[in-house]
Amino acid sequence: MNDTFTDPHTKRAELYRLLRFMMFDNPLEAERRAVNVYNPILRKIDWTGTGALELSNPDGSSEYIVYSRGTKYTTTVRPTHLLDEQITRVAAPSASTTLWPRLQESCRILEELSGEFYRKFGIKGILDSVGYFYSSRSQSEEQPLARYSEALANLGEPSQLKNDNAIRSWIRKCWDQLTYLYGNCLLAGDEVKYVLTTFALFELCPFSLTSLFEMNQEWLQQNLGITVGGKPVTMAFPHVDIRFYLEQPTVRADLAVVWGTSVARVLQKQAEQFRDEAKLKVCIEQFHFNLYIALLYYRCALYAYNVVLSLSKIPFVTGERALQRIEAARAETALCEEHRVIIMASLTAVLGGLDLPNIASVEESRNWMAALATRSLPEAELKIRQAYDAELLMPKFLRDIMLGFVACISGKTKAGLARMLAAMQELEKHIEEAVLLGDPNYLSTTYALMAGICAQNGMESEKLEYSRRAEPSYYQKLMHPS
Amino acid sequence: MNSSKDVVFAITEEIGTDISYVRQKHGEEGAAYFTGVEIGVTFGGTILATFLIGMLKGAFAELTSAAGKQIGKALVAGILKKLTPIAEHSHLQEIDTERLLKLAAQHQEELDGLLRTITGKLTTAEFNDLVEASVTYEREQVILHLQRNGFPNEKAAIHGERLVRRVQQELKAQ
Repeated sequence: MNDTFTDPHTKRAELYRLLRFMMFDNPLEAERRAVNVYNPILRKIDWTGTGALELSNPDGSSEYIVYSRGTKYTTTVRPTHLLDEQITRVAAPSASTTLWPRLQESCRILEELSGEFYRKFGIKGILDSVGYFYSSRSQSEEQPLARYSEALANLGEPSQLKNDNAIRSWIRKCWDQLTYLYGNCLLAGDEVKYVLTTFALFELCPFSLTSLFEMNQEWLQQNLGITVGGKPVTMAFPHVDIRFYLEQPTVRADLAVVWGTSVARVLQKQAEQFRDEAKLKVCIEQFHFNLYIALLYYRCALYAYNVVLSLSKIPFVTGERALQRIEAARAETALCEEHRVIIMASLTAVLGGLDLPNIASVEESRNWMAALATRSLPEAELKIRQAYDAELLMPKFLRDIMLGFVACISGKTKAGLARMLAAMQELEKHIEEAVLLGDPNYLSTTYALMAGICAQNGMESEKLEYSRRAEPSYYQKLMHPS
Repeated sequence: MNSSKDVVFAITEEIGTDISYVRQKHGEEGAAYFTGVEIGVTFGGTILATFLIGMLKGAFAELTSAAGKQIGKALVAGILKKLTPIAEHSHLQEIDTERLLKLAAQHQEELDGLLRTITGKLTTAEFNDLVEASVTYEREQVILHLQRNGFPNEKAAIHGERLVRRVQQELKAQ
């Protein structure tokens, strides 16, 4: 039974999984994370006990992951209830370059498999874009090039936008362009996070948008003068730091809080929408793509909440609405942070090698399911629900296949098969997308599994039917009915 | 009718991704929790109890309702008395996930018993009508419960609406 549909599509999906891991913040951060993920110290931790991991940051600060009998949380404050010996210290990972050669190799294999795919999906451009982070250009002591402004250059000259409508229309176009470039791994999350959040701030601006541009112009003239080298100083691109706008003396403290938190809330809602849609996707690739976009919006929302909570104006807030917003922002920041970490873990799990179900591989998913089968039904069911509801490790259709499977092996064969069949019927409707996006072949392999369950339970006619559906000819016919 | 365990899992599915509000409310201040499904399952039981309180209060308030008459004032008062501690239970700050699950299982057993008592007095059609008749009460109770447990007003309203519909559907499922 084939675990995959077709080679070039599968290879492309594999490549995109690696790319998303490298680009959700930036490739150099991803290199450091990769070292941490495979750190042997982390594998020795007994997560069911009580203790904490102290992760040292390159700037000397520390973060703690506290675990206590099944519950986990992160904090920057040393947990006072723990003794020193209960805290495992993990040193800041040294820079390494393991992902970059892996990515180059993946691209090379894809090109070898299908030159057409390589060209069609612009892999060369993506490779060049990632390569930028490893070049001296990005690491120069001078400020590295802000690639977003280069990427948006064809959409108009900001200094030429004379009224609110023109600015608004420019922002919309920029927004679409940036999300497209991030979605296609041509720009990294860190490159678009600040600019997207700033655009969200512009969209919710309580006064004229031209006044925001004027703030930029005034700032430039105050710092550089009216002219430089005989030429008038003009704004090339507005500041992409929401603090710049919220800290302006003309923006009252209460207004800054309400405005900034409104931005964060809009971005958080976008993130939640993508997250919720991801859970209902019937293609693994679409599930991860949606999570990848949700992650960007969660990071933007977090950035906005953190700026608001650290504004120098906070002590001067007096209005009830603004005070409530500050209170709510603290809870929402924690929630966004949790989702940021969960989604990052979910996007990392599909690279394999972690103690988490890797749904990008049918074989690894099956092994995870088989391990669950050795536990009691309630325990297995809870683990699967945990992976779906709390950890965002799998979409609903896969959860249903797994719940159906554990029901079958716990003696509830008919109910289990019915659940699996319902998930399969849903997958059949989306089979073309699944094949073209390079998903693992859950259709044939699940039907084969169902056939096996029927054989063990003496359900001969069902066994024959599911065996037939497990053949490649079945999904091929679904894709090309004529 | 589904068992309360099925209803609770359905509730968890609806609010699972936002369940951290509950931990934020009941847990250690300043910590970002990685909330497990256990807290969802435990909290789900309190939502089901809250829904049933709303449903019975509705039947109790509408004395003309067939179901209200059928179950009887005294029995409704008795059931409400048993549902209240489940809805208001204060163990959500418990961090031992094993203990949380045991609590959730106890509550589900109690809820199953109470549901059996109610359905024992009614035909299937009457029970289904009862589930649907008191939607205003059910929604009000559930939204208030979500707010009390850390959900912001806006989210409590959205989830409250969805949860009432989902619980109705699950309770009526044959």
